[in-house]
Amino acid sequence: MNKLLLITLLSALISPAIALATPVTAQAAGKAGMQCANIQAAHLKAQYQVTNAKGHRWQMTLLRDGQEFIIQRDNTTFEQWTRNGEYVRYFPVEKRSVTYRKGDLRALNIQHDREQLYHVVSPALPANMAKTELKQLPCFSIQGFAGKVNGMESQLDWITSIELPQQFNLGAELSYQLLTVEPYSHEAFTVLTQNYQDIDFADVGDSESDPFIAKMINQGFIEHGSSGFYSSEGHAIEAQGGHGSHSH
Amino acid sequence: MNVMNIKRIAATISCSLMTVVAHAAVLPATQTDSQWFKDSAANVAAKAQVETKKTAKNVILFVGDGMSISTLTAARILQGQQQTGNQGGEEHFLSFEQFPRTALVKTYNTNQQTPDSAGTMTAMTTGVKTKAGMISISDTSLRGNCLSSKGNELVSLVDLANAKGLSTGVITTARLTHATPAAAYAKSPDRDWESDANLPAEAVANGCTDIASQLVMRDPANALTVALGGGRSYFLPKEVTDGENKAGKRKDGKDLTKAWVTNLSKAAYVWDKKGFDAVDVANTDHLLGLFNPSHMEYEADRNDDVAGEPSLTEMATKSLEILKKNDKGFLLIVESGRIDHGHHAGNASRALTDAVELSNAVKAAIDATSSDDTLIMVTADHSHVFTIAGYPKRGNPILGLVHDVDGSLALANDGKPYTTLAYTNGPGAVVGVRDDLTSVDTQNKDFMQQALIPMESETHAGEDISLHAMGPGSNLVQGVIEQNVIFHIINQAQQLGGTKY
Repeated sequence: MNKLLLITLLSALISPAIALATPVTAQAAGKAGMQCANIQAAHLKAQYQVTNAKGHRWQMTLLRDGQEFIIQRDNTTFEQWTRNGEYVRYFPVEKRSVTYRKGDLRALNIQHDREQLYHVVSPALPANMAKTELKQLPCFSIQGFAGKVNGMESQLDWITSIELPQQFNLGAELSYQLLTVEPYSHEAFTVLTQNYQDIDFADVGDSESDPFIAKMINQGFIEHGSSGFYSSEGHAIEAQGGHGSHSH
Repeated sequence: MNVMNIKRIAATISCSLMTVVAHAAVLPATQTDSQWFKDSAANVAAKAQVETKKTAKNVILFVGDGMSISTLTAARILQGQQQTGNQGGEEHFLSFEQFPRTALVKTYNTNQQTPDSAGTMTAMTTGVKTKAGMISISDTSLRGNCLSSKGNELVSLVDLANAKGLSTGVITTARLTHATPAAAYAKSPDRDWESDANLPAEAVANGCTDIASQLVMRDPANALTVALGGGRSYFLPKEVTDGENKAGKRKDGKDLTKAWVTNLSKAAYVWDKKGFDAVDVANTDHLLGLFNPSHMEYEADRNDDVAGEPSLTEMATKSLEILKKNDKGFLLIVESGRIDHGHHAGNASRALTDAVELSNAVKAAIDATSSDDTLIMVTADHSHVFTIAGYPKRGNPILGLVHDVDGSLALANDGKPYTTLAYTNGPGAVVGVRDDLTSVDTQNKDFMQQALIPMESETHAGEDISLHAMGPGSNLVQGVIEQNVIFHIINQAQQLGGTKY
């Protein structure tokens, strides 16, 4: 049986983004206080600072539009998960996108944990950790949790109303810090993905003469490290591709 | 018949009889009693009785996109191993593999040793080889340049059949606007011009139209009777969201599904399985079915589709019911489009499952027509770098790890097992240490076969593919042929008038 490939909370650990030099000082819930009354869980923009064990830092943005959402980890690309179960990778500079339909993902044996991506961390975590302090910030009630995750003593501050972490520390390996959260309209979300020339991943094999596809293939952009899929060990899933990371 | 010929034939028959008698006298019973011997002798005897008519009222051309000969062999074994009481599966035949006539087909494009589907299908539908990426445009044109395509448009089998008053149909599991089906009805210097949104300014300025538009906005006298497949979003405006929650791609605001119903007589448009099943064949003379925003699902995933999709067999069967209403006859082109995609993804299970479904569709076509008046041909457009290797024992699961004749797990030089099926290149390539497959279920439909050369997408291959034929005109299918000969076989068998036969 093929290994079950899950995207875990470690996903951003191997993000291609370059570490940011800016220190994290803001407390998101308080900072976003002026707007928080209007924030709906299904339509928001949340920015996180992610820090790994080596001290590298980068930002990650989550955009929600109903059951659809976008995750952006750097300026060269962002990823969308549609309500149809598709995964779309956008390249803003080139105004091109590649759509992986469900059948493509299955054929490539790529599996992902949509719930974890939607909530940044697995929404099952609170149920598996012990409750700690309940904090009342200007906008949100934040429930604290503590317990072992992946064998590491971890802490989670969970914003129940929007089902996102305000802070999550996976031992000393990884931390997520919410920087800002604000309302994000359906219209704004839609504009983000408009006017892209899209190609089905299934058509990539027949599009080698397309300069964009040729470049992406040569750079390994389509399936390799920055695909957005990561194994439970935090390694980039390369669509069962090379580099010894088969997921058979 | 002159006397000389009669003498020659008599002598041949005489020699032949003597040979049989002489051999029978010397062959041991262990040989002649063998079922292998008896079956093959019967096979040859049956072939000797084959009489082939020259003129076909109807023609059905099946094209397995990327259906290499190794794909046929593996699909045959896969289906055979699913049969109750099989003897290993290798003895099985796909439905068309027992057709009486076979040829090998050279697939190269005029500019590529290893071809693409646009150039290869153009060869089949027009009798002229062209460059990769071009749809029924001769190779004097430049790919992606509208102006250069003017005056280089090629007349296709569909054009000729419609002119003769026949009914015509195109079916595919890919998008109807994809290169292979498109070459049957459209003329475009670029396969990617599937909707108006894909047309560059130069194309618009010089009067080229997109492929979806060319399917629908035809002179009613040259319209397709049946067009079934995927690619719905290429027919809908971007402002319209379809029944599967996908927006259209067209920028010109045209809803071509509505245009189909408006422009053609007794026309119907369906987009899901329920609508497809409800089609009133008796009162439908023009049927457009677009069952997916893009390609239809792999056969292995079809039951998971949101709105439900008909199988290739169901589409072929329904199409034949409609096409057969024309007493003058019909031309039907059927593509199994996703064999190619399964291979590109390095996923043999899906590729083979689609090939088996193509075989099922051919069987349905055989059952629904008469070999007295219908020429059925089954071929591919090009090959893939897909191999069947090692020395697995008879009956070894075709998707499984290689087991030797003694049943032991075969190991490579790295001490690890390996699968019978593999690819020369593609996403399954190993860089570094090869995975140990000992505890892996390689028969799982999501398993990706290992490959040698790392590439994001597995590639087409350049060797010949096969052509199988039965029915009137199938006698023309023999030897090693250029792919464009297929046009001439149909043209001559169906007397389409494209040349002076």
